[in-house]
Amino acid sequence: MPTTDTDLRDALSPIRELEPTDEEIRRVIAAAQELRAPRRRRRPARAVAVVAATAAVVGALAALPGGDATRPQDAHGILQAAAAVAGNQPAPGAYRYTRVRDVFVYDVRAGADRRRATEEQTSENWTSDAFAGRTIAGQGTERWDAPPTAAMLRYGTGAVVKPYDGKFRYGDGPLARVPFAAIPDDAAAAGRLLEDAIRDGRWALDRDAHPRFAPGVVESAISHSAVTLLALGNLSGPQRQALFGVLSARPGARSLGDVTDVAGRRGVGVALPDSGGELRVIIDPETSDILQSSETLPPPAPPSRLPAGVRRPPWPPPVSLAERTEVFLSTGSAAALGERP
Amino acid sequence: MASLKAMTTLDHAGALTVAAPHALSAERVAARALRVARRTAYGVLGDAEAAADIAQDVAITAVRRAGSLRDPAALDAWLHRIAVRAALREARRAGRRRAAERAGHDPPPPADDAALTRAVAFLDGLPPRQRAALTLRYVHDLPDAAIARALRCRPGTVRSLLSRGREAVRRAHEDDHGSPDADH
Repeated sequence: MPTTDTDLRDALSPIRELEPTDEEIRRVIAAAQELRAPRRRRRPARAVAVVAATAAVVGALAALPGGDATRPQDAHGILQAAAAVAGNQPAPGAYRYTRVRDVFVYDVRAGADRRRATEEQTSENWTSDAFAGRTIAGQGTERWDAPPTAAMLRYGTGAVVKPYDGKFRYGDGPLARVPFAAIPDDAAAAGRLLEDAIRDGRWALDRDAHPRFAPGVVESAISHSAVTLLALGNLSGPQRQALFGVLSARPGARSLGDVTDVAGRRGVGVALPDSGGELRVIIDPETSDILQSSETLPPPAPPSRLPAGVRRPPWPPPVSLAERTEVFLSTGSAAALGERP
Repeated sequence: MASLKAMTTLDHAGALTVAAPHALSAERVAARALRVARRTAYGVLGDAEAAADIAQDVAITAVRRAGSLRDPAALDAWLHRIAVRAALREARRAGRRRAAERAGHDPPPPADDAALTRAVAFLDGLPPRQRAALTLRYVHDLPDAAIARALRCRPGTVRSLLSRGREAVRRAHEDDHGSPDADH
């Protein structure tokens, strides 16, 4: 019965025994050598993407209904406008202050009943150079779209909603220790630096986690890193301008037009291609602040085939994470840790 | 055959420890990549054939790109990351997979091992990311921070995934044995 760490480790131990055969190793090496030989490759997907991006830029020149007719509505224009606003911002203080609400939405099922459980936790963050600083987070909350059944309630408590007061929490992305002074004021240079730093892992918490060579991973990490730096980094106006320039150069970005974040604030939205999905960002066009970033996770995969006689697990799964959102409720400069703008 | 195995003397869960880039021979990289990726993909997908396909793809990529690694000790972390991402990508499109994709490939290793079947059944029905987190923890013995890097999420999210995964496994077991609260 797999209920403890030891039980689960024992239960899954047969997977640890999977070993490659010599024939498989030989086949891999032969295939890799064959692929090393130079050959011409067609890239129809990229050509289509370029055409689509061009069409999107041209087509988005018209303002969306209800929007500001003078405001750019294509992704490139939105990001360039935000860059221009950011470039005129005053010099930062000793710390960048952010109050952030993390929102996790789960699909919860029990038999024929289905609910959505939303877990939220709000934190305050102070970051100086290299993401050094402090995070204070209160007790999180959980709410349901309809009263949960007794079985569902057992799934509802998450470990991510406990109170916290300590060092700034930086848990994802490759730029955990970036010295902010190293970010150039030029968009092209900033983009090159981000890509190089992501590939060589120079600022990561653990260099062993890098480099990121899988197709699309570096491109996705550049977008996430730029958004993270824009939201949480204690950067100068020209540096933030450069980072918006980095985002505007990402291929495949699309406009979401005038949108409202979960806190009810109006902004302009941009969706950036992410590995297997989209990273959606809402920007305050007046201040260039990041109001919200979010991603929607794909639905759980169906169960695989099971041989006769093997226990059928519950399907659909009782709990699956459906969405994740960061709402930047307040941002500003602070002269000291614990001080609020 | 024996010569290839002699070059891959790693234990099941231990990290690849090499002192210099030249130590990363193609055979060692291929063996390590096949081992890491197959175990990871098997845990995420529960499908022996799909896991074999992913392991091969990851291993080919690893052999081709290993020369670019500045730090050979980073190989394991890199392999975990690309293997997890490949497995999660496959999980998303599993329903659309065609048998024809595998035409012409050698048959994968047999999956009729009863112990292996029971092992993967414990994870079946869980969301792919929960399966990935449980596999990285209980098959590869990775700590929260390393799992977070592989899944590209916060360590808190990893703890949540692990907690929910363990709870789902426990519930599945209860349901299977007639718990009073069973919904299935």
